Amino acid sequence: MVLRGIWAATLVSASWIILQNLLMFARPAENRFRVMLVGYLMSLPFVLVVYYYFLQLPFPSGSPSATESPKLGLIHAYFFHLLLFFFYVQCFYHVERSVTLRLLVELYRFGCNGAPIQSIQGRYPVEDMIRQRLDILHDRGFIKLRDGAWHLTLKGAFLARITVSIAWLYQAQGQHERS
Amino acid sequence: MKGLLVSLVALALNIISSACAAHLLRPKRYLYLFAISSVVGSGVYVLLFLVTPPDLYFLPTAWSINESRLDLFYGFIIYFLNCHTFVDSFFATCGGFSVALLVAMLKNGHKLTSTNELMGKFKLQPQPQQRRMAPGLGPVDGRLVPQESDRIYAWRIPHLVARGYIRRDEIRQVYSLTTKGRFIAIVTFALKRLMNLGEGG
Repeated sequence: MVLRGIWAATLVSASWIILQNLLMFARPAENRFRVMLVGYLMSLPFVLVVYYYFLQLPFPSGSPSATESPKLGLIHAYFFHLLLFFFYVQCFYHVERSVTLRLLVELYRFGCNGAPIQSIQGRYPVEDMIRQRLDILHDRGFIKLRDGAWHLTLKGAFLARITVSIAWLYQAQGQHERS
Repeated sequence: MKGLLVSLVALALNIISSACAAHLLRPKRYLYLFAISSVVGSGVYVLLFLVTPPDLYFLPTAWSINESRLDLFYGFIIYFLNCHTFVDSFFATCGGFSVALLVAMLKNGHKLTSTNELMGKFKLQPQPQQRRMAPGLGPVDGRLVPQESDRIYAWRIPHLVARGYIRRDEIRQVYSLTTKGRFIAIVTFALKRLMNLGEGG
């Protein structure tokens, strides 16, 4: 039962992720996280459908899985489906937002001759990085602009406080404190 | 079900032990710390799985996975995915650029935070004030190379050189990709195209 639940979760996850990425070519979305969340939520009923389809298939004779509770398989199917969603979102942001990966891609574009650091900084200046992120944070409701200054919203302050707590717990420094 | 529950226990131990290790060791880069604690945690997971009974003393028979090897493997996959979520959450918050901006605003208190002020927080001190620590020599004043003018490139470029992703041509003063760096760049470029993403970063 559990193995069938895992297969159902994997199949449904792979299907909606492929479909969602194909749709992004037809109609690109500004807020990709919302699209991923909608894709995940819309795929939830399909986990049930696919799992019950798999349950109808006969078990090999003497298989120990045949005596397991069908509910157990369903719980694992939904749990695994959720973890695969998290994994996809995390991988997406590794590719989309990573400064280091962007830096490597910029150097790749310069070809085998390479480039001085000023050229890389010219194509990808820190000022642009900051402006781009402030726009995104503003769009997502983490900050607001008042009298020419940025202020944290409740959501932004909550995330910042959580980060400060985690940083204390792990004695870590943020990007604005490194040198 | 046993594999899932044991993997959650191993994950909790991993999170607690890595926090304790971070307090004791104060690492500069956290990826190694998390990699080591995750590997140790996976060993703990296997050990706990092998020494505990199939019902963990409380699970009903119907809630047990009858194939022990499947249960072990499935729990391991769950453990890996949860470790990935944990490490990713850490880097998205403590290492994330966007969140660093939020923290900078929070630490600024009720003072006004303009875009220029935020940009200033990512700039390093101008050349005359910058004192650098040279190994074996202590603090020295020296001319900064261009990437050291901001906090984004200052640690990232030497780190990428040290990890073998890029190399520096000392004569021409240029940086180029190594084979390893080129491979990562091509994979990233292909993934960005597959997902129809812009430049990003």
